[in-house]
Amino acid sequence: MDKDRKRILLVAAHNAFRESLASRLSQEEDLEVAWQAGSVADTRDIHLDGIDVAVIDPLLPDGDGMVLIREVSVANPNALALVFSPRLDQAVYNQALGAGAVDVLPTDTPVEDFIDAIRRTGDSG
Amino acid sequence: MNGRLHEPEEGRGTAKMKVLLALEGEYRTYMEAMAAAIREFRPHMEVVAISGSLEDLEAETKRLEPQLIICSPPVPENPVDERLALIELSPDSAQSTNFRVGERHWQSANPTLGEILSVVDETKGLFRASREQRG
Repeated sequence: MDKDRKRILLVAAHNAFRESLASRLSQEEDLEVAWQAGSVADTRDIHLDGIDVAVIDPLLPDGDGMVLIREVSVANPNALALVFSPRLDQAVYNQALGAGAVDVLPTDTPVEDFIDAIRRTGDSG
Repeated sequence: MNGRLHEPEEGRGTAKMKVLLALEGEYRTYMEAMAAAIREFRPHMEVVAISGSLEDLEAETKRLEPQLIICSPPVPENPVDERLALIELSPDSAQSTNFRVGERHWQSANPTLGEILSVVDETKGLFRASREQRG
């Protein structure tokens, strides 16, 4: 394992979107999508040790992905969370930041800016 | 992941197939990532990604003349539905995505990137066959 690479957990319900994003992130030399999940249950099946950044779209089929922010940080206090979603309002921002997310981004963000936000999130710990 | 990720040898040819990807602006991150993924796994394609109105989609379709369009519903009938293949990709994973390649239609719930790439490959096969028929 390259210690300089940030290891990412990517959680989003839409398979093609999530897998595309994982593919794009893995083109970056300093980033590695080490885990993917499409639901709260799938995420809970993952051994969360070793995650640097958890990227979470909270709109999941079996529950609100916001609960995962706390669960990830409890399982791994070094992990940092970034929430991204097409449906963001002030309440969602407050909920995400209140749960411990470092940053919150809408999904209309250019993908290059999104990648920079992941780096910033990983560096903020 | 279902479907083939890597391009089959027989799928490669000299003619460059064109793919137009058009999703609503609120899914820009995902759209740009999908365009990058198709370029990575199918480097012999020209992939153009736009976000905008239905009029923008129609105008880009006329300009680019893509063989495959991947767009979020609703889809205008002309000229978009005249292309070789069409994926009406629902941004909502709970809603089915509609596929059409030539005369074949089907639906898939929450398709994978591999399923999208399989349609790219199948469309390329049709594209090559149509070019060969025209000589």
